[in-house]
Amino acid sequence: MKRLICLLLILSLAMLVLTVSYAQDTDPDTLWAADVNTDGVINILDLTLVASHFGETPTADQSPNPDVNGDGSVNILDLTLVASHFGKTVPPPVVFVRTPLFLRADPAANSQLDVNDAITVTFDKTPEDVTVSTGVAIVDDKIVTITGPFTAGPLALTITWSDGTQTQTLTYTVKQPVAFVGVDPTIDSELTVNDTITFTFDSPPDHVTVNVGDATIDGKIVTIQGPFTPGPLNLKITWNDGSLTFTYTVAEPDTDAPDITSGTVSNGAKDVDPKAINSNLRIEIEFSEAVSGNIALQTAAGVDIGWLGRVEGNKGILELVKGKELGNEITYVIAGKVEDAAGNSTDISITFTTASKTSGIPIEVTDATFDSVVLGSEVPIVLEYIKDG
Amino acid sequence: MRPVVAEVALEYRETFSFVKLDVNTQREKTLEYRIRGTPTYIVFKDGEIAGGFVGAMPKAELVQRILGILEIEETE
Repeated sequence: MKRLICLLLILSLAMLVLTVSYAQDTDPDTLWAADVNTDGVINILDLTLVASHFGETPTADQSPNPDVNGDGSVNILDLTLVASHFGKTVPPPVVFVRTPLFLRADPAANSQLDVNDAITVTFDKTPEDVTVSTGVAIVDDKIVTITGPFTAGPLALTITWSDGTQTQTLTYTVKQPVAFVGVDPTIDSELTVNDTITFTFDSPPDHVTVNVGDATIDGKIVTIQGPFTPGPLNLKITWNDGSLTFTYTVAEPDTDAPDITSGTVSNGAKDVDPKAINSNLRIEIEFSEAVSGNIALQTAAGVDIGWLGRVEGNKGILELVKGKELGNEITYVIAGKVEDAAGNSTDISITFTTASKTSGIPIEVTDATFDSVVLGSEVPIVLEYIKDG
Repeated sequence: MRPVVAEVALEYRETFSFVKLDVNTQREKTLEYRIRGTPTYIVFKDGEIAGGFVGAMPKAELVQRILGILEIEETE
């Protein structure tokens, strides 16, 4: 009963204060505090709530909180405050929603991109309604990934979010894709185990990898050095802007030394007509494969006669030097050494002896030596056509 | 016939030289001189054909024919 009387007294007092201070301006925070039950109106319900907790010391986070003025206790001041705004409508609190902020881009703006690069843009919170002027944007929480391909040249990428209210423009330079120009040896050719394959691009490629061997990059040139495994070879080269596969056949290692297959003279030949050789101006030796090396015409004692020797392709050639013609009844040695591409070498030693000027032994001629031996002879010639030697 | 030719070649080495050509392997000069059988003999003097004959024969006849074409008197 005492409590009810007290309440009515307070209510009367509050109504009195209300009439006095009704016209006072109030800030929203005070109105929200006076609307103790948060129903949007300051009325008797709020006064009742304060009165029902009168004398208490509520905690700051208590709800509803009858400590209207926030001084730590529910007292007459709180009742007065509610009473002074009695009947007022409390505006709903304004909920401020901040738009996400652009933080950074990777790669950073003003840097170079490759055509197929991706750009990641980081915000401080998840952006909504994201659109981009170029490429495709994928939003994953605070990260927006923009994928190409982008067109080579200058790129101005505009990102828009928050329903078009926020934009950020990032500028880049998109590099021209590096294009393949050629390869040596050509595709489908045969390689040796230790061959080198050379690729040429129109500009220096980045991030070059190969599935066989090691790639060495020197500007626009990429070389892949063997050894390669004998058999079919599928060589895939990948670089920043593409990949290509080339097929080759890697031959078994060559371990065969070059052979002498034929020649103007054969080893051990006797009665070789020196006139026929002199008139031909040369001696030739054929090998079983292409070789390099040297060759010389010597006496049996190893003295160089002075003919010009050279090795070309699969031939060894000795050219007559004027005044160094072959004589009769002399033993000559064709000496030298040749080597094939795999490094297999053969020593050359072909010994032959020229015929006596008047030996009386029939000389065998060929179509090639016929004119010099028969038609160019100083002595009469009896030519005998025979069959099988 | 081979021993006959070898003997003649040796005996007359100061007068003429014997040269042999295989018709099976040296086709160009065989066709050029229209050789139809073996042995066939063609005698050259100063690079020109002086004469020729065909067939195997005894040594004396072979010498006689060659010297006759070369217009050389038999002295041996």
